[in-house]
Amino acid sequence: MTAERDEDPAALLPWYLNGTLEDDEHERVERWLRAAPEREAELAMWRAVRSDARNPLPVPAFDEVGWRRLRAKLPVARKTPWLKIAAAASVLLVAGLQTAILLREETGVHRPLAESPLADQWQFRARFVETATVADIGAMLDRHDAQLIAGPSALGLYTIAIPKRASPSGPQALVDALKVEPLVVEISVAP
Amino acid sequence: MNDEVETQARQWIAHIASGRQSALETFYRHFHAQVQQFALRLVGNAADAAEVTNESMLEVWRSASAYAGESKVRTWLFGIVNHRAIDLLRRRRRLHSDDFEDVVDDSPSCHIADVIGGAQDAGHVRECVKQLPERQKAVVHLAFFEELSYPEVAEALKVPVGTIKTRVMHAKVRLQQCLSARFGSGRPV
Repeated sequence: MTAERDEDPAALLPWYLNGTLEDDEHERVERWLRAAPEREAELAMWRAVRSDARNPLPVPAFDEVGWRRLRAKLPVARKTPWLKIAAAASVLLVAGLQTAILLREETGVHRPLAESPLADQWQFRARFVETATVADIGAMLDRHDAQLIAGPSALGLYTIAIPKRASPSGPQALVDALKVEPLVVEISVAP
Repeated sequence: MNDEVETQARQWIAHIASGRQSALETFYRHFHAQVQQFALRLVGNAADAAEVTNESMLEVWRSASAYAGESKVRTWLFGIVNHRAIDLLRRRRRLHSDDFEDVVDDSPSCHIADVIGGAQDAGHVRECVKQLPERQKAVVHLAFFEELSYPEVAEALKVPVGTIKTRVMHAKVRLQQCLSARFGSGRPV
């Protein structure tokens, strides 16, 4: 392509029409159009192309199946390492349990295992469908910014935590959101 | 895309880069229709467009950490979609040699009145745009549907600004020839 063609205002007509040219370019195109009336025909052709191009083609606003296919392709390694977090949480839980027992023995004062949930998290008890795989549960929790921090208990209950910023109005909204997940059999705010 | 949406989109990219699937889902929900529109214009059928959309979003997941923020998120995304569409068309062997080379006989061989007449008919215009090589169609879509400036189109398609202008000139000749042929005479200007 020559420098001369680079400067051809005819090449700028699509952007003259969409209004994104700089002022000096816009002026240059207008001068070029005024110089020869037949150039209006070229502009008219682009205007017709623009008019057609601006009609959206029929596409779905959201493709649920497409999203599921995409999610299935995401490498496990990039997911939140919730299993490691859960393992670490389990170790902490056991350590906490031992500490609590020792303290109770020392002072004779009853102290609950977890005096209060972490200040910035809501905690929930949840049970998942028996057929759920670790990957399924991990992906589902990830969508809710949730982390598995303990479980399963002898009753098959897991403890999960979600940052309070995810639902400033309170934990019930999160319960409602999780209840509709196909993998969740039951869920409630942890006592 | 206004500044607020651009800021939000950059946050999504940052979260995607840190491995948050929920951010990718949000990103997917927000941009899915635009991506699918562009893909459909390029590949011409819904099934391939869905595949291009899927592969493009997967590419977003993989390369979010490489996004340097030098271009707008939307421009960066369209670049990915364009690349994926070209890739799919190559696999399908549906690209013609001049799609790559931008070579065209640009001697105007149509009567200007035919072009004007042809351009009045939306059906003719649509058919003629469909017949453009994919790379020229990409320019038309990004300029007219997405309303990108020509430097943004060049950035999205990863080619120099001069190449974009060349594609426009070649597209113009093809459109004139096509519209003229549809209206019959093919008389020289």
